[in-house]
Amino acid sequence: MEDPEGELIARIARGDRLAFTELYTRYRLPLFHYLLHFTTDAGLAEELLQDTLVAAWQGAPHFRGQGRPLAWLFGIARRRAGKTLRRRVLPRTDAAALAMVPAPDLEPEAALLAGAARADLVAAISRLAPIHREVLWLTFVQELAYQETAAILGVPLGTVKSRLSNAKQALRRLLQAAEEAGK
Amino acid sequence: MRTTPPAPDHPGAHLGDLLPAYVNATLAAPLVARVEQHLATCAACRTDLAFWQSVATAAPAAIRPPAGPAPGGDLLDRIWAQIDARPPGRSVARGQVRRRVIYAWHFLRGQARLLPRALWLAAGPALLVGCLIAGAISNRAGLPPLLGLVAPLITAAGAAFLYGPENDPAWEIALATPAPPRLVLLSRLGLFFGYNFTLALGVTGLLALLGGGNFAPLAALWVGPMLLLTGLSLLLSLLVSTLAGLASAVGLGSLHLLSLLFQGDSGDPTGGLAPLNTLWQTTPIIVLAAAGLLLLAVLAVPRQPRLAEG
Repeated sequence: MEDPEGELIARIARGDRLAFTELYTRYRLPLFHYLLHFTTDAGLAEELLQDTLVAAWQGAPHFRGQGRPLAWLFGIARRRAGKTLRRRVLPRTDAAALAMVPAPDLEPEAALLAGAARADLVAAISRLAPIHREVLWLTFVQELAYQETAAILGVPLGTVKSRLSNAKQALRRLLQAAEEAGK
Repeated sequence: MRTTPPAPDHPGAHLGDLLPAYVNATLAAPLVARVEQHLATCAACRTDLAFWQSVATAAPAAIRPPAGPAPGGDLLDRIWAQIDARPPGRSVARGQVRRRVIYAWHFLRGQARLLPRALWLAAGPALLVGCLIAGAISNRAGLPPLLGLVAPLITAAGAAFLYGPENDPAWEIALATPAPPRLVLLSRLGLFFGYNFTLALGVTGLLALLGGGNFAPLAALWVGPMLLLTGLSLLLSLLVSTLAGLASAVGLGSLHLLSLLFQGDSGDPTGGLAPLNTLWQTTPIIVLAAAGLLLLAVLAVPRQPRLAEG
Protein backbone atom coordinates (compact mmCIF):
# COMPACT_ATOMS: atom_id res chain seq x y z
CA MET A 1 0.00 0.00 0.00
CA GLU A 2 1.32 3.42 -0.91
CA ASP A 3 2.08 5.78 1.93
CA PRO A 4 -0.63 8.45 1.69
CA GLU A 5 1.61 11.08 3.29
CA GLY A 6 4.42 10.32 0.84
CA GLU A 7 1.86 10.46 -1.95
CA LEU A 8 0.88 13.93 -0.76
CA ILE A 9 4.45 15.15 -1.26
CA ALA A 10 4.63 13.41 -4.64
CA ARG A 11 1.49 15.31 -5.72
CA ILE A 12 3.02 18.57 -4.52
CA ALA A 13 6.15 17.77 -6.52
CA ARG A 14 3.91 17.55 -9.59
CA GLY A 15 2.62 21.06 -8.84
CA ASP A 16 -0.70 20.01 -7.28
CA ARG A 17 -1.86 23.08 -5.32
CA LEU A 18 -4.71 21.22 -3.69
CA ALA A 19 -2.21 18.78 -2.20
CA PHE A 20 -0.15 21.67 -0.89
CA THR A 21 -3.22 23.20 0.74
CA GLU A 22 -3.85 19.85 2.39
CA LEU A 23 -0.26 19.76 3.63
CA TYR A 24 -0.65 23.30 4.94
CA THR A 25 -3.84 22.44 6.79
CA ARG A 26 -2.36 19.28 8.25
CA TYR A 27 1.05 20.51 9.35
CA ARG A 28 0.95 24.28 9.88
CA LEU A 29 0.19 24.06 13.59
CA PRO A 30 2.80 21.41 14.52
CA LEU A 31 5.33 23.36 12.45
CA PHE A 32 4.36 26.64 14.06
CA HIS A 33 4.63 25.15 17.52
CA TYR A 34 8.00 23.67 16.65
CA LEU A 35 9.25 27.05 15.43
CA LEU A 36 8.17 28.60 18.73
CA HIS A 37 10.95 26.49 20.27
CA PHE A 38 13.41 28.81 18.56
CA THR A 39 11.86 32.21 19.06
CA THR A 40 9.45 33.80 21.47
CA ASP A 41 8.30 36.18 18.73
CA ALA A 42 5.11 34.75 17.21
CA GLY A 43 5.41 37.07 14.22
CA LEU A 44 8.88 35.79 13.44
CA ALA A 45 7.71 32.20 13.93
CA GLU A 46 4.98 32.85 11.37
CA GLU A 47 7.50 34.33 8.98
CA LEU A 48 9.68 31.24 9.41
CA LEU A 49 6.63 29.05 8.86
CA GLN A 50 5.99 30.84 5.58
CA ASP A 51 9.62 30.33 4.50
CA THR A 52 9.45 26.68 5.53
CA LEU A 53 6.33 25.98 3.50
CA VAL A 54 7.64 27.84 0.45
CA ALA A 55 10.83 25.77 0.73
CA ALA A 56 8.71 22.62 1.03
CA TRP A 57 6.89 23.49 -2.20
CA GLN A 58 10.18 24.05 -3.98
CA GLY A 59 11.91 21.07 -2.39
CA ALA A 60 9.10 18.54 -2.88
CA PRO A 61 10.66 17.10 -6.07
CA HIS A 62 13.74 16.21 -4.00
CA PHE A 63 11.81 14.38 -1.27
CA ARG A 64 12.90 10.76 -1.50
CA GLY A 65 10.58 9.30 1.11
CA GLN A 66 13.30 9.11 3.72
CA GLY A 67 11.19 9.38 6.88
CA ARG A 68 7.75 10.85 7.24
CA PRO A 69 6.81 14.19 5.66
CA LEU A 70 6.41 15.69 9.12
CA ALA A 71 10.04 14.91 9.95
CA TRP A 72 11.09 16.30 6.58
CA LEU A 73 9.16 19.50 7.26
CA PHE A 74 10.60 19.81 10.76
CA GLY A 75 14.07 19.47 9.27
CA ILE A 76 13.39 22.31 6.83
CA ALA A 77 11.89 24.43 9.61
CA ARG A 78 14.87 23.92 11.86
CA ARG A 79 17.36 24.85 9.14
CA ARG A 80 15.33 27.93 8.20
CA ALA A 81 15.11 28.99 11.83
CA GLY A 82 18.83 28.51 12.34
CA LYS A 83 19.69 30.46 9.20
CA THR A 84 17.37 33.36 9.95
CA LEU A 85 18.21 33.62 13.63
CA ARG A 86 21.91 33.62 12.88
CA ARG A 87 21.41 36.67 10.67
CA ARG A 88 19.08 38.64 12.90
CA VAL A 89 19.16 39.90 16.42
CA LEU A 90 15.64 39.12 17.49
CA PRO A 91 13.95 37.65 20.52
CA ARG A 92 14.95 34.05 20.55
CA THR A 93 15.43 31.14 22.82
CA ASP A 94 18.61 31.44 24.84
CA ALA A 95 21.38 30.21 22.55
CA ALA A 96 23.67 29.50 25.47
CA ALA A 97 21.05 27.24 26.93
CA LEU A 98 20.65 25.49 23.57
CA ALA A 99 24.33 24.67 23.57
CA MET A 100 24.42 23.64 27.20
CA VAL A 101 24.61 19.96 27.92
CA PRO A 102 24.46 19.24 31.61
CA ALA A 103 27.09 17.02 33.06
CA PRO A 104 25.76 13.61 33.97
CA ASP A 105 24.92 13.19 37.58
CA LEU A 106 27.27 10.47 38.67
CA GLU A 107 25.80 9.92 42.06
CA PRO A 108 22.04 10.32 41.92
CA GLU A 109 20.16 9.63 45.04
CA ALA A 110 17.50 7.50 43.51
CA ALA A 111 15.84 6.78 46.82
CA LEU A 112 15.21 10.44 47.51
CA LEU A 113 13.87 11.00 44.02
CA ALA A 114 11.64 7.96 43.82
CA GLY A 115 8.01 8.82 43.58
CA ALA A 116 8.14 12.26 42.00
CA ALA A 117 4.61 13.44 41.37
CA ARG A 118 3.38 14.05 37.83
CA ALA A 119 3.03 17.75 38.58
CA ASP A 120 6.67 17.84 39.64
CA LEU A 121 7.64 16.09 36.44
CA VAL A 122 5.68 18.54 34.29
CA ALA A 123 7.35 21.42 36.13
CA ALA A 124 10.77 19.82 35.73
CA ILE A 125 10.32 19.23 31.99
CA SER A 126 9.21 22.81 31.48
CA ARG A 127 12.37 23.99 33.22
CA LEU A 128 14.68 21.88 31.05
CA ALA A 129 17.14 23.51 28.68
CA PRO A 130 15.56 24.14 25.24
CA ILE A 131 17.87 21.58 23.65
CA HIS A 132 16.40 18.89 25.92
CA ARG A 133 12.81 20.09 25.66
CA GLU A 134 13.19 19.93 21.89
CA VAL A 135 14.32 16.32 21.83
CA LEU A 136 11.60 15.30 24.30
CA TRP A 137 8.99 17.14 22.22
CA LEU A 138 10.09 15.41 19.03
CA THR A 139 10.19 12.02 20.73
CA PHE A 140 7.13 12.05 22.95
CA VAL A 141 4.81 14.68 21.52
CA GLN A 142 5.49 14.22 17.82
CA GLU A 143 6.38 10.54 18.35
CA LEU A 144 9.19 10.53 15.82
CA ALA A 145 11.71 7.73 15.42
CA TYR A 146 15.33 8.31 16.40
CA GLN A 147 16.37 8.41 12.75
CA GLU A 148 13.81 11.09 11.98
CA THR A 149 14.83 13.15 14.98
CA ALA A 150 18.48 12.80 14.00
CA ALA A 151 17.69 14.03 10.48
CA ILE A 152 15.76 17.02 11.83
CA LEU A 153 18.45 17.98 14.30
CA GLY A 154 21.21 17.31 11.79
CA VAL A 155 23.09 15.10 14.23
CA PRO A 156 24.13 11.44 14.28
CA LEU A 157 21.69 8.93 15.69
CA GLY A 158 23.93 8.38 18.70
CA THR A 159 23.62 12.06 19.57
CA VAL A 160 19.83 11.72 19.78
CA LYS A 161 20.29 8.89 22.27
CA SER A 162 22.83 10.81 24.30
CA ARG A 163 20.68 13.93 24.22
CA LEU A 164 17.75 11.93 25.60
CA SER A 165 20.02 10.44 28.20
CA ASN A 166 21.24 13.92 29.15
CA ALA A 167 17.65 15.10 29.36
CA LYS A 168 16.99 12.22 31.74
CA GLN A 169 19.94 13.22 33.90
CA ALA A 170 18.85 16.85 33.87
CA LEU A 171 15.34 15.85 34.90
CA ARG A 172 16.77 13.81 37.70
CA ARG A 173 18.68 16.80 38.99
CA LEU A 174 15.66 19.07 38.74
CA LEU A 175 13.45 16.55 40.54
CA GLN A 176 16.10 16.10 43.19
CA ALA A 177 16.33 19.86 43.68
CA ALA A 178 12.54 20.11 43.92
CA GLU A 179 12.49 17.27 46.43
CA GLU A 180 15.11 18.96 48.58
CA ALA A 181 13.37 22.32 48.36
CA GLY A 182 10.11 20.74 49.51
CA LYS A 183 11.60 19.25 52.66
CA MET B 1 0.64 9.31 39.40
CA ARG B 2 3.95 8.65 41.07
CA THR B 3 7.08 8.22 39.07
CA THR B 4 10.41 6.70 39.84
CA PRO B 5 13.34 8.63 38.45
CA PRO B 6 15.88 6.60 36.57
CA ALA B 7 18.71 4.79 38.20
CA PRO B 8 22.28 5.47 37.10
CA ASP B 9 23.95 3.42 34.39
CA HIS B 10 23.58 -0.27 34.86
CA PRO B 11 24.31 -3.40 32.78
CA GLY B 12 21.24 -2.83 30.61
CA ALA B 13 22.14 0.77 29.84
CA HIS B 14 22.80 0.02 26.17
CA LEU B 15 19.30 -1.31 25.63
CA GLY B 16 18.10 1.39 27.97
CA ASP B 17 18.98 3.90 25.25
CA LEU B 18 16.15 2.39 23.23
CA LEU B 19 13.48 2.81 25.88
CA PRO B 20 12.20 6.21 24.67
CA ALA B 21 11.74 4.68 21.21
CA TYR B 22 10.05 1.69 22.83
CA VAL B 23 7.68 4.05 24.63
CA ASN B 24 6.77 6.07 21.54
CA ALA B 25 6.34 2.85 19.55
CA THR B 26 8.84 3.66 16.82
CA LEU B 27 11.22 0.81 17.58
CA ALA B 28 11.64 -1.90 14.94
CA ALA B 29 9.97 -5.20 15.78
CA PRO B 30 13.17 -7.23 16.38
CA LEU B 31 14.41 -4.59 18.81
CA VAL B 32 11.05 -4.52 20.57
CA ALA B 33 11.44 -8.23 21.22
CA ARG B 34 14.99 -7.73 22.53
CA VAL B 35 13.97 -4.87 24.78
CA GLU B 36 11.04 -6.83 26.17
CA GLN B 37 13.24 -9.83 26.76
CA HIS B 38 15.68 -7.64 28.62
CA LEU B 39 12.99 -5.87 30.62
CA ALA B 40 11.82 -9.22 31.95
CA THR B 41 15.12 -9.70 33.71
CA CYS B 42 16.32 -6.16 34.47
CA ALA B 43 14.69 -4.23 37.29
CA ALA B 44 16.74 -1.11 36.60
CA CYS B 45 15.46 -0.93 33.03
CA ARG B 46 11.90 -1.46 34.24
CA THR B 47 12.40 1.57 36.47
CA ASP B 48 13.75 3.50 33.49
CA LEU B 49 10.79 2.40 31.42
CA ALA B 50 8.33 3.62 34.03
CA PHE B 51 10.14 6.92 34.11
CA TRP B 52 10.05 7.39 30.34
CA GLN B 53 6.37 6.45 30.28
CA SER B 54 5.76 9.17 32.86
CA VAL B 55 7.76 11.63 30.76
CA ALA B 56 5.76 10.67 27.67
CA THR B 57 2.55 11.38 29.56
CA ALA B 58 3.79 14.63 31.06
CA ALA B 59 5.59 16.01 27.98
CA PRO B 60 2.55 17.30 26.05
CA ALA B 61 1.43 19.29 29.07
CA ALA B 62 4.94 20.46 29.91
CA ILE B 63 6.00 21.46 26.39
CA ARG B 64 2.76 22.88 25.11
CA PRO B 65 2.76 25.84 22.77
CA PRO B 66 2.09 29.21 24.30
CA ALA B 67 -1.61 30.03 24.40
CA GLY B 68 -2.80 32.58 21.95
CA PRO B 69 -0.51 32.92 18.97
CA ALA B 70 -1.48 31.03 15.87
CA PRO B 71 -0.56 31.48 12.24
CA GLY B 72 -2.58 34.26 10.62
CA GLY B 73 -5.58 33.43 8.47
CA ASP B 74 -4.00 34.91 5.34
CA LEU B 75 -0.79 32.93 5.67
CA LEU B 76 -1.65 30.55 2.84
CA ASP B 77 -2.34 33.50 0.53
CA ARG B 78 1.03 35.00 1.41
CA ILE B 79 2.72 31.66 0.75
CA TRP B 80 1.12 31.44 -2.70
CA ALA B 81 2.12 35.02 -3.41
CA GLN B 82 5.73 34.23 -2.50
CA ILE B 83 5.74 31.03 -4.55
CA ASP B 84 4.20 32.74 -7.58
CA ALA B 85 6.59 35.67 -7.34
CA ARG B 86 9.52 33.37 -8.04
CA PRO B 87 10.16 31.62 -11.29
CA PRO B 88 9.51 27.96 -10.57
CA GLY B 89 12.00 25.13 -10.37
CA ARG B 90 14.43 26.33 -12.98
CA SER B 91 15.88 29.23 -11.03
CA VAL B 92 16.19 27.02 -7.98
CA ALA B 93 18.00 24.40 -10.04
CA ARG B 94 20.21 27.07 -11.52
CA GLY B 95 20.98 28.33 -8.04
CA GLN B 96 21.94 24.84 -6.96
CA VAL B 97 24.21 24.39 -9.96
CA ARG B 98 25.81 27.74 -9.21
CA ARG B 99 26.37 26.77 -5.58
CA ARG B 100 27.93 23.48 -6.66
CA VAL B 101 30.22 25.19 -9.14
CA ILE B 102 31.32 27.65 -6.47
CA TYR B 103 31.89 24.77 -4.03
CA ALA B 104 33.92 22.86 -6.62
CA TRP B 105 36.00 25.95 -7.33
CA HIS B 106 36.77 26.54 -3.64
CA PHE B 107 37.48 22.85 -3.12
CA LEU B 108 39.91 22.63 -6.02
CA ARG B 109 41.60 25.88 -5.02
CA GLY B 110 42.01 24.57 -1.48
CA GLN B 111 43.51 21.30 -2.72
CA ALA B 112 45.88 23.13 -5.07
CA ARG B 113 47.21 25.06 -2.07
CA LEU B 114 47.71 21.88 -0.10
CA LEU B 115 49.83 20.20 -2.78
CA PRO B 116 53.58 20.55 -2.22
CA ARG B 117 54.66 23.78 -3.87
CA ALA B 118 57.65 22.03 -5.44
CA LEU B 119 55.23 20.04 -7.62
CA TRP B 120 54.07 23.22 -9.31
CA LEU B 121 57.41 25.00 -9.30
CA ALA B 122 59.55 22.05 -10.41
CA ALA B 123 57.28 19.90 -12.52
CA GLY B 124 56.10 22.66 -14.83
CA PRO B 125 59.44 24.15 -15.87
CA ALA B 126 61.12 20.71 -15.90
CA LEU B 127 58.43 19.41 -18.19
CA LEU B 128 58.66 22.41 -20.44
CA VAL B 129 62.45 22.45 -20.73
CA GLY B 130 62.80 18.67 -20.80
CA CYS B 131 60.24 18.24 -23.55
CA LEU B 132 61.73 21.01 -25.64
CA ILE B 133 65.25 19.57 -25.34
CA ALA B 134 64.01 16.04 -25.92
CA GLY B 135 62.04 17.14 -28.93
CA ALA B 136 64.96 19.12 -30.38
CA ILE B 137 67.45 16.27 -29.88
CA SER B 138 65.07 13.73 -31.32
CA ASN B 139 64.48 15.76 -34.40
CA ARG B 140 68.08 16.69 -35.05
CA ALA B 141 69.91 13.48 -34.29
CA GLY B 142 67.33 11.19 -35.69
CA LEU B 143 67.23 9.39 -32.37
CA PRO B 144 64.05 7.71 -31.32
CA PRO B 145 62.07 10.49 -29.75
CA LEU B 146 62.80 11.24 -26.13
CA LEU B 147 59.64 13.27 -25.78
CA GLY B 148 57.80 10.12 -24.74
CA LEU B 149 60.18 9.77 -21.80
CA VAL B 150 60.21 13.22 -20.24
CA ALA B 151 56.51 14.03 -19.84
CA PRO B 152 55.52 10.63 -18.33
CA LEU B 153 58.57 10.52 -16.07
CA ILE B 154 58.06 13.95 -14.54
CA THR B 155 54.30 13.49 -14.09
CA ALA B 156 54.63 10.02 -12.59
CA ALA B 157 57.37 11.14 -10.21
CA GLY B 158 55.15 14.00 -9.01
CA ALA B 159 52.14 11.70 -8.61
CA ALA B 160 53.97 9.85 -5.85
CA PHE B 161 53.71 13.03 -3.73
CA LEU B 162 50.03 13.73 -4.19
CA TYR B 163 48.39 12.08 -1.20
CA GLY B 164 49.02 10.47 2.13
CA PRO B 165 50.39 11.33 5.56
CA GLU B 166 53.96 11.52 4.21
CA ASN B 167 53.10 14.35 1.85
CA ASP B 168 50.09 16.17 3.21
CA PRO B 169 50.90 18.98 5.63
CA ALA B 170 47.25 19.14 6.68
CA TRP B 171 46.63 15.38 6.76
CA GLU B 172 44.91 15.16 10.14
CA ILE B 173 42.91 18.31 9.57
CA ALA B 174 41.82 17.03 6.17
CA LEU B 175 40.64 13.76 7.70
CA ALA B 176 38.63 15.67 10.28
CA THR B 177 36.68 17.54 7.58
CA PRO B 178 33.63 16.07 5.84
CA ALA B 179 35.47 16.06 2.47
CA PRO B 180 35.62 12.44 1.26
CA PRO B 181 39.26 11.29 1.01
CA ARG B 182 38.64 9.86 -2.46
CA LEU B 183 37.34 13.18 -3.68
CA VAL B 184 40.46 14.81 -2.24
CA LEU B 185 42.68 12.32 -4.10
CA LEU B 186 40.78 12.67 -7.37
CA SER B 187 40.80 16.45 -7.24
CA ARG B 188 44.54 16.56 -6.56
CA LEU B 189 45.23 14.04 -9.30
CA GLY B 190 43.03 16.00 -11.70
CA LEU B 191 44.79 19.24 -10.86
CA PHE B 192 48.33 17.93 -11.13
CA PHE B 193 47.79 15.63 -14.08
CA GLY B 194 45.75 18.30 -15.87
CA TYR B 195 48.50 20.84 -15.31
CA ASN B 196 51.21 18.57 -16.73
CA PHE B 197 48.99 17.28 -19.51
CA THR B 198 48.18 20.81 -20.65
CA LEU B 199 51.85 21.80 -20.60
CA ALA B 200 52.86 18.69 -22.51
CA LEU B 201 50.14 19.34 -25.08
CA GLY B 202 51.45 22.87 -25.53
CA VAL B 203 55.02 21.72 -25.97
CA THR B 204 53.94 19.03 -28.40
CA GLY B 205 52.04 21.60 -30.43
CA LEU B 206 55.08 23.84 -30.44
CA LEU B 207 57.37 21.03 -31.59
CA ALA B 208 54.91 20.02 -34.28
CA LEU B 209 54.83 23.60 -35.52
CA LEU B 210 58.61 24.07 -35.43
CA GLY B 211 59.51 20.64 -36.79
CA GLY B 212 56.78 20.53 -39.37
CA GLY B 213 55.59 17.17 -38.04
CA ASN B 214 52.12 15.90 -37.20
CA PHE B 215 50.70 16.63 -33.79
CA ALA B 216 48.95 13.30 -33.20
CA PRO B 217 51.97 10.94 -33.57
CA LEU B 218 54.00 13.21 -31.31
CA ALA B 219 51.27 13.26 -28.64
CA ALA B 220 50.94 9.47 -28.94
CA LEU B 221 54.54 9.18 -27.78
CA TRP B 222 53.68 10.33 -24.26
CA VAL B 223 49.91 10.21 -23.57
CA GLY B 224 49.67 6.46 -22.91
CA PRO B 225 52.93 6.17 -20.94
CA MET B 226 52.05 9.26 -18.90
CA LEU B 227 48.74 7.73 -17.85
CA LEU B 228 50.26 4.31 -17.15
CA LEU B 229 53.27 5.49 -15.15
CA THR B 230 51.18 7.99 -13.19
CA GLY B 231 48.69 5.27 -12.26
CA LEU B 232 51.48 2.92 -11.19
CA SER B 233 53.37 5.53 -9.22
CA LEU B 234 50.25 6.79 -7.44
CA LEU B 235 49.11 3.28 -6.56
CA LEU B 236 52.49 2.30 -5.16
CA SER B 237 52.74 5.53 -3.20
CA LEU B 238 49.40 4.74 -1.56
CA LEU B 239 49.96 1.04 -0.98
CA VAL B 240 53.67 1.06 -0.10
CA SER B 241 55.30 4.49 0.21
CA THR B 242 56.07 7.66 -1.66
CA LEU B 243 59.58 6.33 -2.28
CA ALA B 244 58.21 3.18 -3.92
CA GLY B 245 56.04 5.27 -6.25
CA LEU B 246 58.95 7.50 -7.13
CA ALA B 247 61.25 4.50 -7.66
CA SER B 248 58.78 2.88 -10.05
CA ALA B 249 58.67 6.02 -12.19
CA VAL B 250 62.43 6.58 -12.18
CA GLY B 251 63.20 2.86 -12.69
CA LEU B 252 60.90 2.39 -15.66
CA GLY B 253 62.04 5.72 -17.12
CA SER B 254 65.72 4.74 -16.84
CA LEU B 255 65.13 1.38 -18.49
CA HIS B 256 63.30 3.07 -21.30
CA LEU B 257 66.13 5.56 -21.73
CA LEU B 258 68.65 2.71 -21.92
CA SER B 259 66.59 0.94 -24.52
CA LEU B 260 66.37 4.15 -26.57
CA LEU B 261 70.12 4.68 -26.37
CA PHE B 262 70.95 1.10 -27.40
CA GLN B 263 68.53 1.28 -30.25
CA GLY B 264 70.04 4.59 -31.34
CA ASP B 265 73.63 3.29 -31.38
CA SER B 266 73.29 -0.10 -33.00
CA GLY B 267 69.91 -0.23 -34.57
CA ASP B 268 69.40 -3.40 -32.56
CA PRO B 269 66.05 -3.18 -30.95
CA THR B 270 67.32 -3.37 -27.37
CA GLY B 271 67.47 -7.08 -26.71
CA GLY B 272 66.10 -7.93 -23.27
CA LEU B 273 64.55 -4.50 -22.79
CA ALA B 274 62.30 -4.85 -25.81
CA PRO B 275 59.24 -6.08 -23.86
CA LEU B 276 59.39 -3.00 -21.65
CA ASN B 277 59.06 -0.78 -24.68
CA THR B 278 55.55 -2.06 -25.23
CA LEU B 279 54.64 0.04 -22.18
CA TRP B 280 55.71 3.20 -23.94
CA GLN B 281 52.92 3.41 -26.44
CA THR B 282 49.48 4.91 -26.63
CA THR B 283 47.26 1.95 -27.34
CA PRO B 284 43.82 1.01 -26.05
CA ILE B 285 45.42 -1.69 -23.88
CA ILE B 286 47.83 0.76 -22.28
CA VAL B 287 45.06 3.28 -21.66
CA LEU B 288 42.85 0.55 -20.16
CA ALA B 289 45.69 -0.69 -17.97
CA ALA B 290 46.30 2.88 -16.80
CA ALA B 291 42.60 3.33 -16.03
CA GLY B 292 42.71 0.11 -14.01
CA LEU B 293 45.70 1.31 -11.99
CA LEU B 294 44.07 4.68 -11.31
CA LEU B 295 40.88 2.94 -10.23
CA LEU B 296 42.86 0.72 -7.86
CA ALA B 297 44.54 3.82 -6.48
CA VAL B 298 41.17 5.40 -5.76
CA LEU B 299 39.95 2.20 -4.15
CA ALA B 300 43.10 2.09 -2.04
CA VAL B 301 42.00 5.27 -0.31
CA PRO B 302 39.54 4.32 2.40
CA ARG B 303 36.16 5.96 2.23
CA GLN B 304 36.26 7.27 5.78
CA PRO B 305 39.61 6.73 7.42
CA ARG B 306 39.82 7.27 11.12
CA LEU B 307 42.40 9.63 12.46
CA ALA B 308 43.97 6.73 14.31
CA GLU B 309 44.67 5.07 11.01
CA GLY B 310 46.45 8.15 9.69
